[in-house]
Amino acid sequence: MKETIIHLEDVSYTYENSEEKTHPAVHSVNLEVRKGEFLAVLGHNGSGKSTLAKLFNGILVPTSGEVKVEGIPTSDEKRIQDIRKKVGMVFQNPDNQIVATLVEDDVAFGPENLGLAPEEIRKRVDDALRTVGMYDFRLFEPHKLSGGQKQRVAIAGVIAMRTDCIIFDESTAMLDPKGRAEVMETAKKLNEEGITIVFITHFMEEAVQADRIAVMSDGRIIGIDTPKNIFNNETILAKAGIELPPAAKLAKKVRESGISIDNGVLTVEQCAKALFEAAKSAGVID
Amino acid sequence: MRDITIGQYLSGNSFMHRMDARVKVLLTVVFVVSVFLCKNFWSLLTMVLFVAVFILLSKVPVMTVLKSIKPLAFILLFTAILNIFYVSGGNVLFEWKFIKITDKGLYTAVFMAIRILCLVTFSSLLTYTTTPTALTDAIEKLLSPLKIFKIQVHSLAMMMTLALRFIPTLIEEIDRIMNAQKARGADLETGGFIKRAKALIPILIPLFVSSFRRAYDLAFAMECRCYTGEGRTRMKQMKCGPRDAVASVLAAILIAAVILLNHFFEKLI
Repeated sequence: MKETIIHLEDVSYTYENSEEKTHPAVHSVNLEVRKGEFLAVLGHNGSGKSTLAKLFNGILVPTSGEVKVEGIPTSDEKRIQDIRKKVGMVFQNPDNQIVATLVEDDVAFGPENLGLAPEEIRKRVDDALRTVGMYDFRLFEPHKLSGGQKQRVAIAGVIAMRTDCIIFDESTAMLDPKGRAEVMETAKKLNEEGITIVFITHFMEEAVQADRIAVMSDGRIIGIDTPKNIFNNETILAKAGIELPPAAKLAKKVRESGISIDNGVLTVEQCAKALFEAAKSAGVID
Repeated sequence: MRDITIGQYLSGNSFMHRMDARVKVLLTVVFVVSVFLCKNFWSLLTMVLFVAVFILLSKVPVMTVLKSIKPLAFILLFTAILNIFYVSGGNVLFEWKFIKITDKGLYTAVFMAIRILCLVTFSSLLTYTTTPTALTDAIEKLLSPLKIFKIQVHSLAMMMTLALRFIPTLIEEIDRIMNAQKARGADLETGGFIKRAKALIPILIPLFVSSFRRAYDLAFAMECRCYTGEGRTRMKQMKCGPRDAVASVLAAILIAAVILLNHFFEKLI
């Protein structure tokens, strides 16, 4: 069992001005985010996944229960800066999180707030921009970039702070398919470098690429497991109103027609491979 | 809407681009003051020469500089006409009923026009050669003595940075809302002044609502990046170099020249 970085214990959150006082946005959630993992939080609109994201680094403090980041409770106002140095966040709208009028100045914003020496900031900014592949755009104005590029700048801004964990709060929701792929690739790359990723999304194709998926419905986590197990669990899928990713759907149809095919198929590549194997064993091709 | 050029920066590596932003801001202030000190055409000529020298030093194309004057054509014309008709004294050149044009009026009109042109050109040179970030940093540094009066200089500078950052974003937003309202049958182009002003309400209200949401999101994002407004350092340190010394000497010569020329030649205004 790996170490835990974020620990949620019986966490509930009710919005103060919400008319339905009895209906919390997040309801008695228990969750452990393990160090170095790629965790996807999947759920449709209004399932409470975005509220959950804001609980991870103390933007919201739980109404009841406790969120701990490496042992520090997010309710401890004196140590909130320590938490934010460990857990960074990339938001949904790329326009609303870029502060400066120049790409490199924006990436420098976080390290500048940490009070680092100018040479150190320069180094971190250049490293971060190279990691997300935006180094050549460092002197661009943010509004001249595409959505995916802006989101990569926002990611660089978090990387430059050297956080251990990055939360992607529906960071792909406003992007076109190309931009979504760019952000997903960057997130996977960072995960390989040892950064814990929590990826909040309603896109199945993105969730299947994670190590684990937590499925949210109506403020509760109704299942947390590997993508393979989640997508083979009919009860969870039905309850959360989740449809299978297209490749898995195809594999399921093939299986239902009587051809034996691996039940772990989730991505297009896996599906192609499984179909090839099935055809080979049936003697259709060699 | 898209041709708004406030705070427009042209990237480059000229003498003026490489000057310290603080010195550039101070230089602009000195320039503005000297323009108002000018009392005759000789001292004004030195100002024009000074502007010309700095246009050369900034390597900004002359056409671009002229473009920044275009939006002011109306104001220029307006002040010129007012001066022609209202300044009395001197020899009368033309008289018809109550309209009287004198040579002094003509001189004043031309003088004022050149003055405004100098002011606009020089201050646009400042924004052409200084990134908005450097500009707000410079203003923050220059205003920092105000801290003793408990004025939050840093917050002011941050507000300026964010305002400049969101100008293009809000322009896009206005375009989007206008198209959305047009698609719903809103008529924005016809009718008199009052009707058109009223037609703007369905544009402004969504713009305000979305701006509040943006502000809210941005505040979260800034907090997540450990922003408290205190204990910040800067990646780009400002340094004065030989270029700044040269520019300061030029500015000193300018003031001296203006005062001397004002003294030795006849005062016009």
